[in-house]
Amino acid sequence: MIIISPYSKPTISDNKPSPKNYPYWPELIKIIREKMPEQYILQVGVSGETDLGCDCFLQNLPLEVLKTLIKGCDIWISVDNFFHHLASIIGKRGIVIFSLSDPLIFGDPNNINILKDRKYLRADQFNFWDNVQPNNDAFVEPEIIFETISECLR
Amino acid sequence: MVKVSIVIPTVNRDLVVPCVESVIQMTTLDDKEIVIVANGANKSLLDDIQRWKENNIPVKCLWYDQPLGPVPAYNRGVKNAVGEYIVILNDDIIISSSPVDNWIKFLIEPLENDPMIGATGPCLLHPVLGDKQIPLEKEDRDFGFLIFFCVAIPRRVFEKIGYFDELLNCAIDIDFCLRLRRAGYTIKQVPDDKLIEDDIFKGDFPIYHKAEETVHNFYGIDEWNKILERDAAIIRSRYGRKNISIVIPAYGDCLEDLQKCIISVLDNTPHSVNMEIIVVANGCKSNVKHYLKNNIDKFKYLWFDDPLGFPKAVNTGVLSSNGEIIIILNQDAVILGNSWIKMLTDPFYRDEKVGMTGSLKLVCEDVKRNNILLFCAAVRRKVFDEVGLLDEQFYPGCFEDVDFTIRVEDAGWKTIQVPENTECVQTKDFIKGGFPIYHVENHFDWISRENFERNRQLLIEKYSPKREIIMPNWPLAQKKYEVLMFQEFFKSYKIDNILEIGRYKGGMTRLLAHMASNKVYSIDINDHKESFMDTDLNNKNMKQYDGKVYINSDVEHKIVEFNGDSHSREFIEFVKSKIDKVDLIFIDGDHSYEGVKADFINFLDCLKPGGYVAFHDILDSVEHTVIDVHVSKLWKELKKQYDAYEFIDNNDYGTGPCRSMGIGVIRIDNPEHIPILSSDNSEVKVSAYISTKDRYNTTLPMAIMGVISQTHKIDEFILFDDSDNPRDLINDPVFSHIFGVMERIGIRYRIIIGERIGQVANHQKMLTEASNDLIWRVDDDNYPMPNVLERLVNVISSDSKIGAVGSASIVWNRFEKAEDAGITLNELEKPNLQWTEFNGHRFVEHLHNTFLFRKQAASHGYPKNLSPVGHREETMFTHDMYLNGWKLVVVGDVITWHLQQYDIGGIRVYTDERYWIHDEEVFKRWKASKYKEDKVFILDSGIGDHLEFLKILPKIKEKYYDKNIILATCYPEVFEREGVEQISIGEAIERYGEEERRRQNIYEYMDRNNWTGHIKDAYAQMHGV
Repeated sequence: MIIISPYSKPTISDNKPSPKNYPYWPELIKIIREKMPEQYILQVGVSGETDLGCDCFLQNLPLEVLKTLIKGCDIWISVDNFFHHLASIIGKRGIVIFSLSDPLIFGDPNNINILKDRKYLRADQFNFWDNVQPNNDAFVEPEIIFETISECLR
Repeated sequence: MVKVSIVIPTVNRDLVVPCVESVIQMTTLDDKEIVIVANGANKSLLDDIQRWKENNIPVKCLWYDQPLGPVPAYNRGVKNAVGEYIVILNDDIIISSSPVDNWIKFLIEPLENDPMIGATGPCLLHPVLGDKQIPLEKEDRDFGFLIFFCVAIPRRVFEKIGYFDELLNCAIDIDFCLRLRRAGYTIKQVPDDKLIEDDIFKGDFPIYHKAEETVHNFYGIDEWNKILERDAAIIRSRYGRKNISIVIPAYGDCLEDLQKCIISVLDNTPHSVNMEIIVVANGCKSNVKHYLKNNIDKFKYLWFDDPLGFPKAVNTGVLSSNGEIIIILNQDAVILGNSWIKMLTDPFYRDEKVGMTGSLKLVCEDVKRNNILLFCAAVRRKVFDEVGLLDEQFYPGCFEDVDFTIRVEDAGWKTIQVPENTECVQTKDFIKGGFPIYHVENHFDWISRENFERNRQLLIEKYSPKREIIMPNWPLAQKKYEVLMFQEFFKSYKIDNILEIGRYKGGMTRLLAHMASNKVYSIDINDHKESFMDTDLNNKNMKQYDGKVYINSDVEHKIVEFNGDSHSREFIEFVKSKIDKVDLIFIDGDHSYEGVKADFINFLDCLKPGGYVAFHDILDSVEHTVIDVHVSKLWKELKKQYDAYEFIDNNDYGTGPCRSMGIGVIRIDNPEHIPILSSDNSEVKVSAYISTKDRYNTTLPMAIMGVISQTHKIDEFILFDDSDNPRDLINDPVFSHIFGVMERIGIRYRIIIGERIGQVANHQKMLTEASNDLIWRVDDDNYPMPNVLERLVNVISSDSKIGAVGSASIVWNRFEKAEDAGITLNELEKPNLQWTEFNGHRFVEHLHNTFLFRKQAASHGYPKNLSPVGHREETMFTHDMYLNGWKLVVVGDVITWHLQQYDIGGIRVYTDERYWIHDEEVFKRWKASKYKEDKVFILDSGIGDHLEFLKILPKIKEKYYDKNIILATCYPEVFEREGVEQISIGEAIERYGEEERRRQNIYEYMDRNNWTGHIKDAYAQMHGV
């Protein structure tokens, strides 16, 4: 079972999608489906998030349930949201897709923190996310994420 | 006696009324009860319940205004049911027409006939949730599951494997059945044991079930599908793949080793491995508990205050594990490479006959058999199922591994050292195989030489020919089958030396000498009158034996005689200076209670740990009493406190009455620990009192009768009457009789009318009103069994530092396990130890509602400022004794029944919730004043940041161990299992100010410090940990 936690919370002031969200989830899921047809893909999130058409989409789960699921999965993938912090509490390693936030500050070194280039990092890492513009160029391609998944499951 | 409880949770009157009516019509309810868990149901249901009650239907209603959720409702019902068997019915069930009781017989009879059936029900399926098949291992899938819309489960099963998992919403049936399977139970579809594959509602069981229509109506289809999906995901992650369980027994002062071990496991185990780690902490220091609690997400742990020994610790871990392969790892082993799991487990997948692998396989020279050392070994679960667990006789450890390996191999399984085809290099100091592990151990750091040798002998005995049982052909003052059973019991037990107290003519001495490989030390006073009562098995005349039966026998050389008084201090010391430790003590000397007790206590330390003490003449009979044989009194006290065995031959051989003799044997793991035994405390005076309020017509008469009917008579009884309209009890038709009895048997009594300002005032007043030093406090809804006070007096008299002692205080229909109970002030959320039954006594840090105490230990008085309710008054009162250096004890094998009255009298007449809240605040302040100042941490940030703070919380707790840690949080769920007080950010600002909030804001801190490191380290630096 692969768990994906695709979204970060919207910005506070204008409730826009977070710039931390990975723009290529549909493509990534398609690749996983094609190349790992035996894998069960579970999406977790909160109400209002886009259903990416995985095998299952569970919303608003209590932390204890999430922990149980994380412990039992083969691998998990998330953006820079609370999920990877939770997984690192359990000690279950996974893949985190970074873009504008700095994995050296916010990522757990035990995870595979994928950052395309540090040049995309925002200058002020500690300020609110309001008014930060999304930048799709800051994310790695889904093929690279898939290769990483394959490597982990090998 | 209620045999069956039919539990029906409901949120819907329209459904449950037809369901209950069908149960009433189709069931004989004489020995049954119906428990309706009404949660969020329409209040008109109460009218139906009243109607049923008026028609004498045994129906009980647990009423909750709001829905509890399905699984908590099930659990509330089960916990409040009193039947031996629990039948759970969904409220959308109708019992169909068929002969009366047919349906219940189908469910219950198989459970009565086979104790290993854990559940019965009409519908057994392959695990499926809605239309979702759950991919389980073949064995789990074939085991199937019973749908819990109608299921019967023995109460004892809940006691063994726990209640339903409240993390789940609808898949509790699959989860519970798989837990049953792992605990060794089967499940049975009734009346037919075939798996129904298609339409589930047309079996032969007389039932109609609306099924999904009901849940669709309640939740809506979309919500229901989400519930199914969520539970399916949990079941899949728990049971869906082949799992590995790593069991780590932890013992003693092991924190550093254990941390290294676990870190090495986590670092070297590929994350694709689906594993669980179970630490079985037994007899560990408290810092280990701290570590375990703070890493609960990384592993499961089981905590036992006392050492279990290695075999039992491993077994406990295995029983709570889920893996198909179980790896046993010592706490002081360090894994050195990430191939370790693969090395240990690959052989199982390659060859289905491989049962066990390990990093070292040696030959045990004692028995010339293979031994997979268990400091790092893997075992297929099927092997445990087939050959059983580790043999706990090998307490506290050593040689259980050889024994287990032999049993595994003898059952036809292969045992393999991994990596295969590598040889061990063995020198004087170490053994090195090819396995990536570092492990250094000196057995004698944790096991005494005596135990090591004992276990070695146990192994040798187990795999050596058994000792021959002989039929004595000499005169013997024993009964034939008793000595044969006695020998049978010990035939596999390695006995070097025996101590016999009471030799007389030596008939038993001679038999014992056959059993011992070395010596029988035989003590006798040698001053007997001629009253030989031997059961002469062959009618031989004693005269041919020249005084002693063993003279000139082939075992005479083993017998060492000591002649003297076994109660004389000098003689005792002399004997002890001359003998080696013994494996068995046989006591057959002074048969008075005090005499046999003295022999037992005086020579107990001659016994090896794990040795046995045997007593002769243990029968409690008139025949013994008339000749002043009172061994039975001691035997009854001892057999509650140890593993005990009785060998009794009721035949009449003509030379003695049939109701005489009897041999009792106890096993003693720790001979240095003297048990609590009776002493003559009949002169000890006790003042007893009851503080009562408005319970004249309910439990008060029973409570008073319980207090005055004790085997240890009280000297004085005081009734504090706090009732709103006090009655003239002296002239009351019921109470006048009770006071008359007191006058007749010589108990002084007084009635003091309370000030009606709450029970605490009465308790406080008793401290000055009581005329004796020992005060027994009993609540007005308590009923102490007649032996309670005698036992409490014996315990408190045995140690002048015991300040208070309580009995078990049991609500008859509620069961709690002693191992789940809390004894410290930080475990108040757990069941109180007094709510459980157990053998012997345990020390605690506070006591519950009824106890005997010394006035001297109560000089601090009761807490002030409590409301009339007096919530937690006894907790604070007794804990203050504890803090003042007094010991507090709970005796688990005498019972005071707590006849709980929720709606009549007592403190429950105060219905204003604010009283309870007020008292809880008083308690918190009291606790803080006793222990700690507040230290607040304000987490005004996101949930991810909370989770990062959670990682440093153990260090925070360590640094501020002397403070009361308060977390101000936005996401309290992150810390809800951390045992820390939480408040809102708003409250923190109110208490500590906006400036403090900003000072502790982690983002502002990182900004101020131009932080480039990890956020967790920023938290650590900010708080200096």
